[in-house]
Parts: sequence; C-alpha cells; structure tokens
Amino acid sequence: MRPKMILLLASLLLALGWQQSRAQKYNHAGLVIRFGDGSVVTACVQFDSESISGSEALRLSGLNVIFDPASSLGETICKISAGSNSDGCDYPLEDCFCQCQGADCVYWAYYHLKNNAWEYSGQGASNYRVRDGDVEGWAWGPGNYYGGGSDVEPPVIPFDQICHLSTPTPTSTSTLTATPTPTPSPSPTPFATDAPTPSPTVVKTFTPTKVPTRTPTPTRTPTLAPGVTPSPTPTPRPPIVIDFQLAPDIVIAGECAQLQWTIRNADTALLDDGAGEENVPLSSAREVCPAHDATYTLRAVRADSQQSESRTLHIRAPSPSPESPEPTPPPSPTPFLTATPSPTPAPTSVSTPTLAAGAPVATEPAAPTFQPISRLTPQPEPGSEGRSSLFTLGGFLIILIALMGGGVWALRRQS
Amino acid sequence: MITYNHYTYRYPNAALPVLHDLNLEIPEGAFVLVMGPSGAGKSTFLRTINGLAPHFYGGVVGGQAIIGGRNPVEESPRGMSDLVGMVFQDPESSFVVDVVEDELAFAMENWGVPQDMMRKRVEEVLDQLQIAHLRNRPISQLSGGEKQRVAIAAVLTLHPEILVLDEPTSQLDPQAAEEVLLALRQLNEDLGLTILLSEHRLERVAHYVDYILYWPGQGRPPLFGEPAEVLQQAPLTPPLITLGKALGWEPLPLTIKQGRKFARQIKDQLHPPPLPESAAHNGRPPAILVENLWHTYSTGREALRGVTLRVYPGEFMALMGRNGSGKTTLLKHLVGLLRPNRGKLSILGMNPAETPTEILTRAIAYLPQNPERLLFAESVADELAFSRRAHNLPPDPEADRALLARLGIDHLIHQHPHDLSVGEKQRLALAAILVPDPQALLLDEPTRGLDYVQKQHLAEILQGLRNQGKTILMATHDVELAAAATDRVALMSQGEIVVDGPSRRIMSESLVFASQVNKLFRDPRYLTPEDVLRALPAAAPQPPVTLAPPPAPA
Amino acid sequence: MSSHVVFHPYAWTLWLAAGMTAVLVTRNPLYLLILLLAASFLYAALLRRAQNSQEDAAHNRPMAWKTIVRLALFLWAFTILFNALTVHVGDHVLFRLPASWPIVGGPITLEAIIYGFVTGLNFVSLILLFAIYNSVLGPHTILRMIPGFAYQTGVAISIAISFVPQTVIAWGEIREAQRLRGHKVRGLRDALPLFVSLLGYGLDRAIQLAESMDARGFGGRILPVGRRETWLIRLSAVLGLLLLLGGLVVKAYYRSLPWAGLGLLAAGALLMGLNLWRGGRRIHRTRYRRWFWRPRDTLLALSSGLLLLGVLLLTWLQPRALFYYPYPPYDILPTFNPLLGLLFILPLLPALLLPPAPAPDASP
Repeated sequence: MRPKMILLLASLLLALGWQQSRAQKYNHAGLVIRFGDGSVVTACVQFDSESISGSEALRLSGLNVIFDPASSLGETICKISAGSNSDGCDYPLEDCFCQCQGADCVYWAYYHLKNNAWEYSGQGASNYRVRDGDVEGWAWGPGNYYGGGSDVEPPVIPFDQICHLSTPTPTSTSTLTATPTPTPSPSPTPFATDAPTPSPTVVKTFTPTKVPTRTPTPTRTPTLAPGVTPSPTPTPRPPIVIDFQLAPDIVIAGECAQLQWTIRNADTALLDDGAGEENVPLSSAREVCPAHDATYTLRAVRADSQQSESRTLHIRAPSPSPESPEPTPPPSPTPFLTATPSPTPAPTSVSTPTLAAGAPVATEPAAPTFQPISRLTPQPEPGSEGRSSLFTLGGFLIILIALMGGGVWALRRQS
Repeated sequence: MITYNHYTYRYPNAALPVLHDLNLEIPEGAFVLVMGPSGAGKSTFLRTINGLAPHFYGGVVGGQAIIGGRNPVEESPRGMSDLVGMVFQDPESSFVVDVVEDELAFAMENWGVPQDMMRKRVEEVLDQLQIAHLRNRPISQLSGGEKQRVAIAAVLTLHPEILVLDEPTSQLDPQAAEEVLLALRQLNEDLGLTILLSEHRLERVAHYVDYILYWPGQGRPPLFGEPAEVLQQAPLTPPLITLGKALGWEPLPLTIKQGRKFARQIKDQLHPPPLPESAAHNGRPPAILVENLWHTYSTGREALRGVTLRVYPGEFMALMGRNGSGKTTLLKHLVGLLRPNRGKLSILGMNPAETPTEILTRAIAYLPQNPERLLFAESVADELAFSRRAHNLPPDPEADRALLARLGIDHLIHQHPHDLSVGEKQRLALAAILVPDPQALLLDEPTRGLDYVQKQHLAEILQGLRNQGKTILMATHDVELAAAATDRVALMSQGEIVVDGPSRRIMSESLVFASQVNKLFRDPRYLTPEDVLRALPAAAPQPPVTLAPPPAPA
Repeated sequence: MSSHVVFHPYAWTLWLAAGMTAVLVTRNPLYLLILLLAASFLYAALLRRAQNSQEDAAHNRPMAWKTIVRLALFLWAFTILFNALTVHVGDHVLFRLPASWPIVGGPITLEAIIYGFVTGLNFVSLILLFAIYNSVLGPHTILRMIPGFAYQTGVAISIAISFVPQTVIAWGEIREAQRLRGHKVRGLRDALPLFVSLLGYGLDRAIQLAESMDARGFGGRILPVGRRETWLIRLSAVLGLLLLLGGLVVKAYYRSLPWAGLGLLAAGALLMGLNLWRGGRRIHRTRYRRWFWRPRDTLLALSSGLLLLGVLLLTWLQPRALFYYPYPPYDILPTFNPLLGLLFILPLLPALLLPPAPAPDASP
C-alpha cells in the first residue's frame, strides 16, 4: 500500500511541476524604491508563477540587494544599491540593522500599494506574496521597526506607469488595449528565449536618477518600452518613446539648466514644472532657472497609451567645501547589470528614461561612506590586474607547497 | 591507641543500634584481624574509626571513642584522614585520577602539602609497597593486587598511624590476596603501623596477627583477644582450626606446620573407610563435551588452546586455575556468549555455537562473576516472575516461593534486591536462573566475598542440586569448597587443561591445590575435617562440627 | 603512557585558542583550507607517534578521536548537500529543480554549495583542533589546569571521565547477565531493566567513591573568610553579573553602537573573573605535577601568540581582509593575501617540533 502512495504523490508533484513549466502566462509587478536622499528608482519584474515573495521580487529587479536570509522574520533587507545610490548596512560585515537603537531605526520600510495609497506591510518580505499587478514599495528612512511605522514613504506611482504593458501577451486574454502595438523583432529580447524555463524572468528596466547626460545610446532599443513583454504578434503602432534630458541636474541657486526632449509616436506632449501642465511641442528645449529644487514631468499622450518622465533639478547652496554633489559613477556604468551570468541576458536598455519623482538631494554626497556594492574586490587598474592575480595565485601555491613539505617532514620524523 | 568507652551507634531509621555499649582498647602497633559473619557490624565498626560513621552515614552516637588522641565524632573524616587511612573493598571505586603517581599525590594535594614534600613521600611510598615500576601506568591497566597496593599507598602518603582495611582481598584471587597481605605484614613490622584488617580468609592471616576481634552479630558483644583464644570460641573457622577444635588440640594450631604435630599423633588411630570408586559413567554420553576448543581474542591473545573436557550427567566438577588461565572464557563458550575459532562443543545435546543464548539458558543456568548485575526488579518475587516471563513460562508464584525456600531466602520475598547482603544477592541470582529448572549449572567464581557460613550454605545447595541429577561445572579458586563438595577437578593453565580427574586424587597430589586437611595428612583419604572425624575410632565421641545458624532476617 | 606532556599545557592551550580564533573569524575558504591542512598534518604526526609508542588501543588518544573526526567529515558532506538544496540564492545556477517542490525546489546555485562547503570547513577545522588538543593533553591534564575556584568541579569531571570506561564494561556485563536470564532486548521497553541495573551499579560506585574520597581528605582546606571579604565578593559578583546582562541587552538593542555592548560585556567578564580568582585563592591546595617549560614551548607560544594577535588585529582594523560571503551582491571569488596565508600555516609548528615517540615505559 505504501509504495503506491509514494508513487502517486511523486507523479502528482511531477505533473504540477510540468504544469508550471508549461504555463506561459507572465505576471508582472512593480517596485518603487526610495533612497534616503530622496532619489527614486522603479523596476518592473516579470514572473510566471502565480505569486512570488516580496524579497524575490526585489531580487529579480536586478538591483544590488543584500539580504539577511536567516533572520527571525524570514529574509530581511539590509541594503539596496542602484548605481550610485546605496542605503543600508553591509551584512554580514555589519549587523543588518546597524542603524537601529532598539526599535527606533533607520531601515528599509516595506509597503504595498493599495487603492493608490501606501500601506505598511504587516508581513516580512519573504512571506508576502506578490501577485500580478501589485506594486511594492521600499523606502529608507527612520521609523519604528517593531511598532510598524515608518516616517518615510515612497512616492505613489501606479502600476501602469511602472510596467507599460501596452501589448497583450500571446496566451493572455488581456483587454488592455484595443490595438496591440507592433514590436519589431530584431531587438534582443531579454526573455523570448527563456520562455520554456519555469523560473520567473527579469525585466531590468530601471535607471538611476543621476543619469549622466551622455549615456551610451547604442544599447537603447527603440522597440522596448520599459517593462514590455515582447509579443510575437505584430503590433500596429510603435510604442511611445521619450528622450528627456536635463543638463546639468544640479546648479547653484540662481543658475540655469537646459531641459531638452524628443517624443516619438505620440500625439500630445505635456510638461509640468510644478505649477501645472502645459502643452509643449513633441520635440523642444527650454531653459529653466528655478529658485528651489524643481521637478519637471513630461507626459506623452496618444489614443491608446501614455507615458511620462520626470527630471529633478537640484539647487545647491554655494558652499566652500568641495564636496562634489555628484557621486562618482561607478567605474563601469552598469557592472551589476552586465556582469550577472544568469540565463537571462543582460537588459539592453540603460538609458531609458525613468519615472522619477525626485526630492531635493541633500547637499552632502548621497553615499559618502558606502562604496558601490557591486563587487567587493577592488577594481584593479588595467595593467596591474594581471600582476596581482599572479601574485595571489603564486603565493597560494607557494604556501601550499611549503605546507606539504613541512607536513611530510614532520610525518617522517615520527616513523 | 584506640579506645572505645560505652560506644553506641545506630543508623538513621534503624530500630536497634549496630554497636551497643562497646568497650574496647587496642594498643599501638597492633595488627588486629576483624572477623565475623556478614552484616554483624564489622564494616560499621571500622567506619567509626575514621569518622565516616556518623559523618557520612548519619545516625546517632552515644558514648565516646578516642582514636589516637582525637575524637572522630568531633572531627570529620577529612580531619581524621592524616591519622587514619582507610582502604575499601573495591579498588576500582577508590580512584580519582588516571595515573598511579597522580593518585598517590591526590590526598596530599588536598591537604596542601608543599610540593617537594609531596615528591619525597611519593617516592617513599612507591618503594615501601614495591610499586615503583608502576608509577607511570594508568590505573585501569593494573591487576587487582596491584590496584589494592596502590590504594594502600595512596592513603599511606599522609603518614597515618592507623590503617583500616575493609575486606581488601575479597575481590581478589589468591595470589593477589597474598601480595596485599604480605604488604600489610611488612607495613606492620617495618613501620609499626596499627592495622585493623577485616578478612574472611582467616587461614592466611590468623597466624601472624596480634589480636582477633570477633563480631558474632545478633546483638552479642564482640570478642577481643589473642588469636587462639578467640578462634576457640568462634564458630566459623578454616578447616584446620575446625578440626583442631573438634579434636581438642591444645594449643590450637593456626598453621599447617603447627598442626602437623597433632596430625602425626592421631594418624595411626584412624580407620578411614575405603575410597569410593570413581563413578561409573554407564556408557552415558557426557552432558558437557568440549573437544579441542580454540579461542583467540581480537587482540591476538590465545585464551583457549585445544581444551578437551568431559563432564558426565550428575557430576559436580570444579575448574581451577590462576586468573587468566581461561576458566571464564571456557564457561562463556558453553552458554553461547563466545564463539570458538575451532573445536567442537556440546552441552546437553545442544551446540552453543549455533543455538541462541536465550534458548540455551532454559536448560543451562549460568551464574556470572558479579551476580548482582542480574538483579533489577523491585522485589525478590518480581525477579523470579521476570525470569519466568523472559523464558516464556506461565507465572507460578507457588513454585517461585518453593524455589526461594530451597535456597533459604523465602523470608525475603518482598525485599528490594539491593537491600540484600552479598550472599543473599547471590542466592537470589541463583534462584533467578534456576527458575526454568535447568539440567546444567555453570558457576563463575561463586565464592568471592563470601564468609565461611555462606560458603557452607552454597556447598549444601549445590550438592542438593547435584543430587537431583543436575550437572554442575564451577570455576573457582576456593580449594576448600572444591574439596568439600565436588566430584572431579580440572586444572587449567594458560588456556590448556593441565590435569583432570577425581577431586580426591588430583587435590591430594597437588601442592598448591591441596586442602588444609590434605596438607596435614598427606593422604588422599582425608580431604575435609569430616573425613577425619568419620575415620575416628567408633568409641571416640564425634562432636559435630559447629556451624553458625543461617543469618536471621534483618 | 606518559602523563608527561610533550609540550607545556599552557603553550598548548594558547595554540588551541589561536587556532580556534583563526577559524571563527573568517569564512574565507582559502585561509581555512590552509589551516585545515596544517592541522591534518599535525594530527597525522600525532597518530603515527602514538602508534610507535605502542600503547594499547584503550589509551591511544589520537586513535580514539579518529571516529569523531570521521563523523565530522561525514557531517561536512551533509552540510554541503543541505545548503545546496535548501538555499536558492545566487547568480551561478547549476541546474534547477521544479519550483513547486517544497524546500528543495528552485535553482541550485554554486554559491550555496560553496557556502555549505565553507560552513562545513569551519566545523571540521574546529573538531580537528579539539581532537589534536585532547590527543596531546589527556582530560586529566586539562583538568589540572583549571584554576582553584573550579577545583571541585574539575575533580568531578575527572571522575566522570574515569567512570566512563568502567561503566561501559559494567553495561556489557549487565547485557550479558540479562541474556543469561533469557531476556531478549527487542525494544526500548526491554532495555529498561538494563538501565535500572546500570543505575544501581553507578549509584553503588558513587557512594563507595565518595566514602573513599572523604576518607582521603578531599575538599581541601578552605581558609575562613571575614565578613567584609564576604560582602565584597558578593557585591562584586552581583555587579559583574549585572554588567554582563547589561552588555547583552545593550548589544541587542543599540545596534548602531556595537562597541558599547561589547565594552560592558568585557567589563562584566573581567569583574567576574577577578571575583572567581579571589574566591579560588581561599581554597588552599598544592599541585604535585611540575610542568617543564622547554625552548620548544617558547616557540609554540610565540607562534600561537602571533597567529592570535594577527587574526584579532585584522578583525578589528581590516575586517575585509578576512571577509568572504559568496552570495550576491558579494563576489564569489575569495580574496587571498599570501602574507595572511602564511599566518594560517602557523598551527603546523608543533608538528615540526614534536620529538619522536619514546620507548614504552621510559620517562620521556
């Protein structure tokens, strides 16, 4: 009787697993991450199981996250980094909650977007199940870790603005739009080749707010609107493309900056400089000289969809200290993005505009004490790289040989 | 040196005092033998000397005891330990550390003796007891005799003036016992220590002790005096002295040498009956058959080398030999606890190498060296009931009770086994293995730690069983028991049977394994005092050999 | 067998402390492997030495630890397997199990295997260090190093250790005896009578031993203490315990100031240590054994001290040098500094200084 039961159970499990692998429906969730200095990063993650955990969603986003996997609440988030932004504690070198005194903490607070408002999560990141259409929020700031309240919330960004699902997926019966937009295929799609694998796949679509003005453009795919699943079905109209730039993005009070934008495949453009929206041409430029930090939101609208992008201009008081307000970008623009040898190829777009509802940046550098977490091995200069690894390897071998020699000599002494 | 004035001691929760109105005076430098039946109070008395009673056991003390100028009731055992050194029966349980030298230093360390003085004393004591070659050995590797000598040395390091020993040789074989007793004699003669020794083997020490302290038990006051005097009145004595008392020899001979004179005198008057023929076997097959048995331990030591032995049904055979000669190994083979490397085995028609022990023990009873290992139940009756269950026999309280009565312990039927004395425990263990009415009985050193009375009872029980037709094989050191009870004797040495034949012949031909009476007369017709007494002319009165009655219930 | 130890017990204890600290502060597999190799050679040398001195198996301590070392190795393999199957974090995915399988479902990553390997490596190294330490210093020698205040505890432990082999023998006898009664031990219930018997045996022996020790003056001479001293000891004990407790609380609560908590803990420990030391001085007892300090002990102490100090300084000043954590976002390749690697060879030194085995029964 017993072996039969086991057989039955095993076949059930296999069927389940197989079922999962055959499911082609992709689900999406949005992430909004607000750093301590106010900069915001969004990401859209794609997964094909019915739900994933909150920490899994964070992992899939492609951000550099340090988890404490074994804490009492399941997994806790110790540190999140995105490019030059980085807040948190270097677990395991430091305590995961290294900025806490008792329950009063500066930590990553976890929210869920419900009815267009943030609700503080009652569960830990590894326990909460994220489903299709959910938006998860993370904010770094002071609060009471055990009391369940944080003083900082991320900005409210609805799901549609994070994950632009303008095209229905092949197997879904989504009623998003009437006309699906065409997607030319030559673009390297991050997930088309991975459909058979049952694991959730990642859409890396975020960019840091401090985008250098001249980011390499060849990686930009005109076809990839942020967070879009490529659909093999032909879509009638190309998606909206916004190229919105602000240079410089930090000025001393009284100085001016240049706003420049180009919109394609849209009908109307609206620019909001904090005082209200106004119609603007699809491609234009403008000079702005605000007295305080200002956020400029450009919205491109057409019949079936719309998109918006924001840029924040930070005003800095003239200070004698040469603290550079712009943290040096990491040596390689997106090391963590390109270096991951996961089956999903690296995302192709770096410079796609982001949705940023930025707050004024503090005058001190965003991450003064934390090095970019990307990889902890110090980046060697190009020439010395070969030398140091030789030194290391050679040293290790010499030590091993010395050890063996000593050991064998000691053994022979005893016989 | 030791003075007791109207000393009374009662254990806590006891109705009657063990020591009652004791008045005693032991001079300095005396070597005193303390003897008496088990449970009479000897051990208690010895413990009052260094204060263990009442400090360790509790209880109520009356009267006064002065030991070497100190009062043990006021001082604790700790305070008395530099005056009175005490050695106990089981050397294993006295040791704290692993190496001999460290054990010797233990007591001194506790007393805070300076290091150089410690080293000096350790050297002295090692020489005094001739254990210098053992100083770096781990104690667990020593033999029994060596262990006891180390125990004596350990207490000697504090330079006590009195040495108290509670049955130090009862767990040892004769050779080891001899070592220890010799060492004690030397200590007494060379160092002038006052020694109080409690011992069952009177024949070894009776002739060189200064005094004997005899505790008759049952509330009767002790006897203290010169050996010959006391032995005259004490009922349990070695065969030589029993014979001497029975024949009225004066002065009472304590050694063979002393007794020879008397023996020569009466030898001519004796008319011994003819020696019985050795029992015909009537062609019956042997009950126990061992043929060319070989056994090697995993360490490589050959325990049995080509042993061949036959025991016929209804025979009582003694297996004698030094420690390590292979007696226990042979017995274990017969009950299936060990498997032979080579050779044939058969017991009651079964092959122990192929039959599981549980089946074998229904027909063969085996009494191990430490019979108390068998006992664990809550009461004596439960022990037998458990045996019945284990052998898949139906419960039968009547038969159990009858068995206990045959062994003389039915009055203890509701007692807890751990409350019994050594002899009673042994008999209980015997009852437990006799429950399935086996046809063969194997005993491994059953006389260890028993006094003369208990040995006598054991001999009677075994002979009774033999008379029922059971076959008995007993490994023993005890020459007197073998002489008194057995039909045949086999001698073993280094894993081989050296000689095998009727008891009378073998024992009288041997130097070492001859009984005392045999040594007196050098005649195979006289093995026990009964033999001699039976051979007396009919006219001479035959005073019965007095034996103490069985111990009364506690 | 000699109770004369090859190295001075204090030097050996320092060696153990240094080795253990080195193992506990780092998870870098390269350094740990070097240390494990060094310790393994030392253990092999000790095994060979014990074989040559021809002690019987019961007293050959390095051999006795062999089983435990083997068990530790087995556990190491198990740790790797367990970690690989239950932790599904990492960038280097080897293969995937269906995600719907409970616990083991998901990607099996190289990082998880490596982390399991490192955890097991830590564990095995510690076990091996202990095995070596105990092989050279028998339990009784170790107990002799216990300072005065814990003397009685030390003796109790010493006795317990001596009891073990005899208890094992008694257990064998009891089992035999039960077989002789036809009692088959089929399950735990059947084994119950045996335990009762063993318990009785143990109690008997314990009483006899207690008698014997009492008769030999065990307990030492305790010097009496005045009232003022008593109050001082009590107060400082309470204060020390409070400090310890406070340190624990502060460390858990004020996570941003870990040094505050550690400082309190250190103060509490210091105070308690002082207190116990003063209490120990009241018990007046002397020690018989003289331990010789030879030149090789100086070498051993110096090298162990170097390792200990080096590792502690690194942890305090440059924790990244010894840091290793394979999971993202950290790098899967461990760093290695050959100079630090040299530090981790130091535990091998006793093997080089170990004299060959003496002839049996001779005093080394």
